[in-house]
Amino acid sequence: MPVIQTQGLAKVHAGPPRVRALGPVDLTVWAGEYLAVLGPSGSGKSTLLSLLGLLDVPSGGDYLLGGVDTGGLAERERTALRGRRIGFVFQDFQLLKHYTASENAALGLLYTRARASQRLSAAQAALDRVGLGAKADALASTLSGGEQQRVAIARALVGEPSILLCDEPTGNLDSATASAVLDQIDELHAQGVTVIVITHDQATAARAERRVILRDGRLFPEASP
Amino acid sequence: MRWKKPLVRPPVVRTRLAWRDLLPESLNSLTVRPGRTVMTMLGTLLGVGAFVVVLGLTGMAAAQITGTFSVLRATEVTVDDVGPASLDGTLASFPADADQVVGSLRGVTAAGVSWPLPGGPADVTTTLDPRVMPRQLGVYAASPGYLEALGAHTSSGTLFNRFDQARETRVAVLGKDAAAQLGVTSAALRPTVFLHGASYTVVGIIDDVKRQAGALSAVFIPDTTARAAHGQPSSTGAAAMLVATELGAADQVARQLPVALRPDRPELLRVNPPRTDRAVEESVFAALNPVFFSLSALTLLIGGVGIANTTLVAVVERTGEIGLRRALGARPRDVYVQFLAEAILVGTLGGLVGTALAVAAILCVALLLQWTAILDPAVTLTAPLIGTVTGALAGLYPAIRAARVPPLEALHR
Repeated sequence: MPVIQTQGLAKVHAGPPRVRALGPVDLTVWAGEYLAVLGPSGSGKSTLLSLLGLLDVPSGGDYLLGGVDTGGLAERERTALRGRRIGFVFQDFQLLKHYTASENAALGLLYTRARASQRLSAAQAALDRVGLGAKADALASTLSGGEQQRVAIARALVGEPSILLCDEPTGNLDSATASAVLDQIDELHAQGVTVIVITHDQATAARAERRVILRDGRLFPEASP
Repeated sequence: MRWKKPLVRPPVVRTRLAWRDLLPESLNSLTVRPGRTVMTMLGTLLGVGAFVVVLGLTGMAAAQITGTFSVLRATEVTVDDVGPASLDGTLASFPADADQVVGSLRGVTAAGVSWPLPGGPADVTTTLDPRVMPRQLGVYAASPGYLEALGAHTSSGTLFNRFDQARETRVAVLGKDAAAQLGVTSAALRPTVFLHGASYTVVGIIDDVKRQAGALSAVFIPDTTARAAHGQPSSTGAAAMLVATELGAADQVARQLPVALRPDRPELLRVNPPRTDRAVEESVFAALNPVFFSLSALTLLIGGVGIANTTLVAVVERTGEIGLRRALGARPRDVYVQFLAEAILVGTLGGLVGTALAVAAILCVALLLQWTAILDPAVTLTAPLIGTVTGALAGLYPAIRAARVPPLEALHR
């Protein structure tokens, strides 16, 4: 069953000058799939991520997320769909530095009306899942880069999303730490989580089951020239 | 092949920040940046503190002033002649022996009649030399009891007395300001002043009075002398009586005065009982409060602008965080409410701390000056709310700006 379906998905910045940042893009991602979107800088990777993650509104095309037609959704409905269905892992972790690892991980549930105790126990479970349960009370600012990215993964997982959307998840990490983080993502995929990684790094993309290449805003299968 | 979009939209469970999480989340955001929070709070703290201090100090000052003057006020009664003028324009409702009649009442310590000489301020000189410019001074006829009731103190010479009154002597007593204008520094050598061409011997110079400070710039001559030289009091310069009483006797004396003076027609006289403390307090408040209220309102305004500015800067600095919260499911309204709540909390904290410091300041001033500390509970309890309102108003615009941050900003941190 597809969790993501796009058809003619496009983003044009009105300008001036008018710039076509993406598309048209046709993409289908199946439940439990591990997909890597490869592309150089300026190819439209971030634009694709923002559209798939409902962080931005497309200029054209259709997008079904988990069977829900996202076109014409009100902002509060897009927010709800994003919060419930998608877990984000950003390149620069996006942790609140003065919060503890546990508070950061629990932030993913803050807007679901779950009680504080439920949020914290879910955060603890998510931190355990990424192997950081022992550092739940450590301030985010005191953690290493790899640990911070694992906290970010825990935050993305805490709401049990159907899709994990990763934007250059190892971009700010050394190779050893990057490998550990990718192992973590592999493990989550093995547990059934749908993973989409957007990266320019071949080694990161190599972990995925399927790879597509984004070039000048257009999507191509890996084998294409 | 183009796929078919579903006709039915599956339900999506809405996300929102629960009210029970709003306060802890806002407090958390404030406590993780204590320096910024304190600096933001400072404006409201000063504004609310100034407001409470102003009200407290003016209240204490008013009480102190009224306390100081209450003894004098409570022992002073005045009586005006409001009777009809006779055909020649004179007005003489007070009996000739008014001083003695009133002086015999229980509780009266001194009493006397006074009136301005007709024609308003008169030309007064110390010489008949026409080349010397006369001074325009208020000249009053006064009974010896009047000067006594004034509580007049002489720096030189004496006040005129009942002998001068009985003999209609041409003597004068000068207030110190009038004496200074005439160049008279001492009554020891019995200098002469000329009034309407007639000479009067200066027997004393008054340097202080307990009541009616205007007496210091006037010239007084005995009432009988004035009657002989200038006639009776007129409707344009009616006589008035000043009565000094013992403490607590003023109201009783005020009730007795009209009948004692004019048992036949008491309605010819109007008695002015002592002013109440409340009236004086209100007049002090009326004089002081507009100024200080304006100052504290200005401080509050500056404090509000400070909160608005700092919160606006915080919105810019926290754009990435706001984007992240939006990405994680926060609605624009959730962001708006959180930033507004933070501004309200800062304002309320500023109000609370400002009120506490102001109360401490008032107590210190009271201790230092040996005054009675006066704190109006209504002011002390409501002052923190002023901080709350200031915070809310100041946080409105930054909160709107924060709510407009798109979730896309999470990618641009």
